[in-house]
Amino acid sequence: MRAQTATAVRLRAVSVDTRLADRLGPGLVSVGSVHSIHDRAVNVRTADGLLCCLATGDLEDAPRTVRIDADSWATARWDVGAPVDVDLTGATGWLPSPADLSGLTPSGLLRAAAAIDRQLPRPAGRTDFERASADLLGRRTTQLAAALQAQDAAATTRTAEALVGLGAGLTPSGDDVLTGLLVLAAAEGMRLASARPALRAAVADRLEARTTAVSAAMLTEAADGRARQRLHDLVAAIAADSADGDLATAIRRVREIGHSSGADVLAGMRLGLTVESLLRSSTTGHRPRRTPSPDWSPTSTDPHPQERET
Amino acid sequence: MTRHIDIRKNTYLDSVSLMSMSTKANAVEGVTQALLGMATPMNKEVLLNVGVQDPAIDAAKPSDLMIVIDAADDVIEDAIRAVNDILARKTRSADGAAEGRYRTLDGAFAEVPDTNLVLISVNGAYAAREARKALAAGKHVMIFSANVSVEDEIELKNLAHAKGLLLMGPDCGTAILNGTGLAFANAVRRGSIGIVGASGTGSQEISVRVHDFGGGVSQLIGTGGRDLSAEVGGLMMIDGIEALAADPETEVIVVVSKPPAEEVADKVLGVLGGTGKPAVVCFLGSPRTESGYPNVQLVSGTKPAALAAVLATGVDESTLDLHALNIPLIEEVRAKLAPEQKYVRGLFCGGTLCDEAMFAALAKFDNVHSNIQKDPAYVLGATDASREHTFLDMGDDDFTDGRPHPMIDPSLRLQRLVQEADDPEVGVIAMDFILGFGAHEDPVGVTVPAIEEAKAKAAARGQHLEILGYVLGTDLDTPALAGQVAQLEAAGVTIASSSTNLGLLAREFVAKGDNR
Repeated sequence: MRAQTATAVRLRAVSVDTRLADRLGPGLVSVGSVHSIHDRAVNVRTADGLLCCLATGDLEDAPRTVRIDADSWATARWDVGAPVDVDLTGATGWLPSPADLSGLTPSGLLRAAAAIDRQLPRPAGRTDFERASADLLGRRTTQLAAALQAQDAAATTRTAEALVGLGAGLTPSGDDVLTGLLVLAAAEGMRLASARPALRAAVADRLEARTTAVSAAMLTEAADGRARQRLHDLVAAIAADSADGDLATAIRRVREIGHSSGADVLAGMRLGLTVESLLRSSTTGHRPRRTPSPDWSPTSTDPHPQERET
Repeated sequence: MTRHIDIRKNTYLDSVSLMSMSTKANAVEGVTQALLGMATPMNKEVLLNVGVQDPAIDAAKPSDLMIVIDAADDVIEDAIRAVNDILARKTRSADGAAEGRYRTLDGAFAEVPDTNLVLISVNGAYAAREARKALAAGKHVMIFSANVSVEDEIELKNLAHAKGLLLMGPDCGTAILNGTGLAFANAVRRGSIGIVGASGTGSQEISVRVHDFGGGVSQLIGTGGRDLSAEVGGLMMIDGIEALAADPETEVIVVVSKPPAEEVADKVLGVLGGTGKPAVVCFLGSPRTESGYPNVQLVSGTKPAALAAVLATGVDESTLDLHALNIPLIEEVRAKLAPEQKYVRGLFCGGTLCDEAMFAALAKFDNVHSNIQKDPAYVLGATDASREHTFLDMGDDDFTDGRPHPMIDPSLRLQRLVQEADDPEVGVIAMDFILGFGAHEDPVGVTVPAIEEAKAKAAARGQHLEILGYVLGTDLDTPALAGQVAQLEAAGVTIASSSTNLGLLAREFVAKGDNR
């Protein structure tokens, strides 16, 4: 085991989530200290407790993420707890814009749901734990769909809460499902927008006590309609309602996330599309809202109040 | 039955690692089940539901990894040790603590002076410079980078030879040295068969077939694809053969390459003849049948090469499953195809696998097109539509320009697969799936939706589209061979048992009567 290095790792950014950039300030900034290390991404905890991510330039943009220039990444040596400096000068800002799904008919939404369904794997759990958690995930997802369809806010919050931290993986399956649903619900023109306060309430309280730190960060961002770029690309492909090939490719790209995370995200989006279709077809003469719902505020002051070092 | 519960504080492994660890842990002999999950309240509740309860679990936090092992009493200690080994390996590679990152080779040599091999994977323009530094420091070199000039290659190989070092590459994609796989490699048993290969996936295929026939690999040395050209003259191949000749663990030597320059082939055969060790040579597509040396056997394909090598170690052939061609299967598939479905489309990640299937087709058909065809009249570019029988090496430069190799990024092949299904004259689509170190984490899973889409397209016009797959890998690989094969079978894909059989089956499926 090597001794920990005292000097900060210094890196050049290629692009940065603009919200994170606002928080960090311009130029050469001290980001925080290394929390955990993966092959192509390193999580860093800022002094005020926000978990953010440094990723190699070949990965995509994502919330709380700084993509790092390949040459300077190659020079980095990571140690948990070591300080990290990043030079943000010249980095491109990343700001995902919500797609507009108001133009889709109920059957258009169902077509997109079916396209996702075609690509969902049907894995059988191997261990008791995997079987039991998959079973529970299936039942609770169904309950959540019913609550959303009934537009029952209390039941929506309760059933969504029961998905947090459930299942295998560093981002447990239930969190991935919620992420897919939250990102879809944040698109413009969604009847599901009325369920967003109830869904957000489910992921607002003591999140790091209920799931892993990485997953808590993912959920908090998803509650604001923000996720890694390929999820936004998929919502945009659904909005375009065009060539099947483009949609299938966008779905495949999401499916490729992690081991089963991508499939779980897709399951959440499929759920959202199905419920949205039902909501739209049940209201005669309904015109979906084009304006963001009142709780949507891309510049909300502190979107991560529960992110604190434990 | 004994239950072992272990809580690893603040253990952040990515989901892919967690899943592969769970798979491996459950494969440990004597383990009834091994459960791995992050200790979130919901997951603890799930464990409670399946009857797992423990104060250590109650106290665990969401950032902790829970490990529960149920195993028979007499093997629980072994099982714990095996699971801990897997964990230790995973944590080491995940937390970066055991691997340093250095700005320069000099920096690395200063910190870890006892390193004896350098793998170079930088832009080809700088690879030779780095290789010179490594050789100067007395290290063996493997150059993964392509686009190194032939002049540099010759100079580097002569320099390495003078110093008694290996210079594998450039464009060397695979090696297994002392049991460690470098770049793309499969997890195979160690044993007494040494391989020197100028074709990367050909070497991988032979190592996997050797493993399947119960044999093992002592060393697998790559030379780079240009080594047996007239210019380079087989410098590394000959050094590799001599290294294996001197290696007491190596009893049999296997050489695999596309057809070399004639004078180089003579030289290589001569060196093999001089080793006195039994040797098997596979010059894919070469018309030669006689080596001229009693200890050197020439074979026509990768599977015959592996079989000959295993038999040369003294194994009794009658004890082996030879995976003979399944003749009833051929009849069955022929019956399903419509008369107009007379062509094969091969979409390959592995260059040698593509070659081998193409040569099998060429033995029976004239109208075989490919981006790696030698006959200019039958050469297809990456953007050309397929024609008649088409075999594409999608790992070749014209397909990989500006994008990762299809063994890592399957997107282009997936598109092509769906596209080929639009052609009503296509009867068979043949595909390889390559497992192992460096390859895609789930090459089959990522392809299944496209396979289903392709089959559905053909079905919509009333045709059966035969998809023939071959998975290059072993059950020691991650993901394991069996799981990948099962996924393909579930998607209605016919499985070939080797690269050689893939080529033969694809050809025979469409070879109804005389359709030359």
